[in-house]
Amino acid sequence: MNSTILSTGIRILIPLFLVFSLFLLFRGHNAPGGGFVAGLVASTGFALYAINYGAKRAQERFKLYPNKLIAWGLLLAVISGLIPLFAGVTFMEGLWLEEIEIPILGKPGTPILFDIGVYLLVAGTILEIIFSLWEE
Amino acid sequence: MLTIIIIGFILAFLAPFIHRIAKGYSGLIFALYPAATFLWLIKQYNTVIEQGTQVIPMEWVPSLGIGIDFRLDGLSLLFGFLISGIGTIVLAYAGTYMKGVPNTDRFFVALIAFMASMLGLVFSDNIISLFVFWELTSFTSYFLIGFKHEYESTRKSALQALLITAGGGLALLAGLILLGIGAGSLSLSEILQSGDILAQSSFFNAAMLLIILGCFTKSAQFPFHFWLPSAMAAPTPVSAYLHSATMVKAGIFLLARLSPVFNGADGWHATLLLFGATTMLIGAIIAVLQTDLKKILAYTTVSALGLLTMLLGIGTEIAIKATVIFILAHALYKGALFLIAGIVDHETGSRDIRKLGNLFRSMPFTAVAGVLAGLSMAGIPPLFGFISKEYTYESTLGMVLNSPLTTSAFFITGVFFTAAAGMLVYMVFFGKSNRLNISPKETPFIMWIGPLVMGLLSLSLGFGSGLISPLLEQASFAIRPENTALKISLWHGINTELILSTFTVLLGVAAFLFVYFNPRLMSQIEISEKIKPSYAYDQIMGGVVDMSKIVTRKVQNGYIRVYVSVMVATFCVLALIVLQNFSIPTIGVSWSDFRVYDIVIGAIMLVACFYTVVAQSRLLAIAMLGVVGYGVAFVFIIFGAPDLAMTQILIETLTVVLFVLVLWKLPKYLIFAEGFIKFRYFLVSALFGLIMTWIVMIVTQYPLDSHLKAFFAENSYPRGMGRNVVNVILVDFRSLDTLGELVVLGIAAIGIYGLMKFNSDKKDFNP
Repeated sequence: MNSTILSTGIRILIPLFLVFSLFLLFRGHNAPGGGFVAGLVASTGFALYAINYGAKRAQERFKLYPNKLIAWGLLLAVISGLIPLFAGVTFMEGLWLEEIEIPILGKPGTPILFDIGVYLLVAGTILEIIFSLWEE
Repeated sequence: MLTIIIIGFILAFLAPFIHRIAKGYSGLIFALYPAATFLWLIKQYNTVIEQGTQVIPMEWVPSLGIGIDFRLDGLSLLFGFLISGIGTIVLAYAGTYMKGVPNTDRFFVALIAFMASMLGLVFSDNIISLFVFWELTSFTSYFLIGFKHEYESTRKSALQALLITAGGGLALLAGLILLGIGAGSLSLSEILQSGDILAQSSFFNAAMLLIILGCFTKSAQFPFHFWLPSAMAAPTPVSAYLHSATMVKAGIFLLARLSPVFNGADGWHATLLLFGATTMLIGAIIAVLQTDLKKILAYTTVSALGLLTMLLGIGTEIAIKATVIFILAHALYKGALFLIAGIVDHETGSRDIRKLGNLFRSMPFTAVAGVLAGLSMAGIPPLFGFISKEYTYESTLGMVLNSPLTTSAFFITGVFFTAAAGMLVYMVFFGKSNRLNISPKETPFIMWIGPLVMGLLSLSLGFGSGLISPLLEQASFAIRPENTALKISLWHGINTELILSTFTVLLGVAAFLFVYFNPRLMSQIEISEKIKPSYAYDQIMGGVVDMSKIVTRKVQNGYIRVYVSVMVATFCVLALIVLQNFSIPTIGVSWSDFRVYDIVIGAIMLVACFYTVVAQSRLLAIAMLGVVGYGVAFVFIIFGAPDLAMTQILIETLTVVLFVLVLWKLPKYLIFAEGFIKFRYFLVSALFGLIMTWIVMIVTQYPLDSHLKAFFAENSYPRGMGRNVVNVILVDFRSLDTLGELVVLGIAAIGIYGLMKFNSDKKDFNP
């Protein structure tokens, strides 16, 4: 697929997609957004790039390995569930550091880590499908 | 005890790392584990001699009565000594034997894990933990047989062994559970003491038969014996260890272990006698027809296992004594012979007795070990094998019924054993027909020392049988508590047993000479494939594969439209079953309830739906479907669910993108379903739509149960630290559900990846 508009536009749009997805990810806890939607947004950017330039080039250009994204996402989600165990509460119970307030990102806590896991996994899954369909 | 077993599994886990550092010396390092176990068992042995049976309790699942209890008595110690003693020799030997073979680290992992499981099996005092260890031995054995997995025949042998032993394991599990129900306890100690209660239990016979079945598959009794010779595909140290000295004796062990319960029951003696004697004869006869060293050894092992089963079936005092003596004698000489066969194979590259010969000069130490082991196998005094044979004759002669039959069966077996021993030792080390191209050398010390020690033990135990009697005596007490003390001696005076024994040896030598001078004649005897039990096995396995192919072709026909319509139709049927008690509610809706944009969006969606169905190209259909999806997103926005709407729009976009990608690969034109088929799809979808409408109508009848909603709304910020209730539910309140969904999503992605990757090159992937 070769479209001049898409191929020029997507280069500028990818950072935007990424920033927007991170914005959605971190505001998700208090306003509409969240890891799932953010993951979809992030993957849409790369998917459009892949459609235009081919999956291989997308993969090389951005050093994107969907398998690794999926694995990391799952790992982070499980770790966020395991951390509370060491603090003496049950598996997956949310833990927060209430004293710290990071600008823009908000309070750090295990649910945020979990949401980042969701983000990576969703993005990885979509990219996995698109890259494997679009290879050759 | 548990510590020892756990150390074994940890060592197995660490084996690859140790192997990487120690390289050629790793075998010696690993051998320290069984050696230490051996020493520890000697200490326990003294305790058992002084204080009797020791039970070490350890809870596992106390609510179900399952524990990892251990039981130290004569029988388990006898096996424990064999496992750790021969294990030490085998591991040290394997370190050198496997040098230069790729993936040796994996080999050690499986071998050490096997060792630990086998120790767990013989020392277990709880039938459930016993079963777990039993299955672990089958499992590790599978990896060891299949070690050279590049060869198809090896994979087949490994699978065969696994299917047969694990299949028998299922029967065993059922049997053990019935036994546990009958005795009211899963503890072996309690089961052994409740023989009388068990005999009245209605499960008694079923339990007995199932356990016998499990033991027969494990111990390669007829008609399941064929997996053992096939298992010779494993590297020789494995054959020596698993398939002659330890694992195959697990069945014998369990039969012996449960003997106090079943001894005297109807059917127990007859079954064991009949199958044991048959296996013994078949094994011995086939053994002398073989020319491969390992096959000869394998069939004589089958025969020896048959003999042990038969002796347990006789079940008299003297027969039990003969059993424990033969277990030790057999492990010593057969383990040694296997290791020697390995050395010969390693040094000459051949295992064919027709080619081998005159190796005595080039490998004297191995030859001495071989001669000692062979003499013990042939049952020639003063070796330990002779004593074992005397006891066996004494037990068959002492039988009230069937004495002539069993005596003559054992006589024939003894003759063939002698002949096989001659074939294994004389032909290889002294015979002249040497057609080898290379000149063999003696192996390193570490390889011949093991078999030599075992051979020397066979010799010294023959003279100094008093040394080993206390252990064997304890073992015979464990199998048959009413046994009297065991006093083994080499010389019994001239009696029927000695005369029979002499004739056995003489005839055996004659049989050997016949084979030796007529090698062609022997190789001409062939057994028809169709009467072998392995033929039945192959037929059954082939049938299962064919059957599953037919079923797969029917069910997994590859048409996604059929899958979808079946799924939807199934849903409809199930929903109708539930809905039959509901009436169709009337809902009062007036036109004034709709706002303008509701109607507009609804109309757009309806039109899009219509065009989706009648579209003449795939692209149009998908675009129309996208319109429907966006319409749904708008509905979400109107009703105040921005999270959902956002997700819906993104999903809709991505779906269209994905569809376009798939379309790229599909043929250009749609082949529309015709006539009846089209009508069928229409029917299914219309039914589905109607049912969904009905369900929505029913649901709206009831007021929304809002206490959950209120709970989440109230607690979302104080307890979940977030103002977005949907998100807090997803990542905090119900995060375990989300985690499950993440796993599913990840697996689906990897599945798609696999499908696409394999499909692109159809030659490599053959379903």
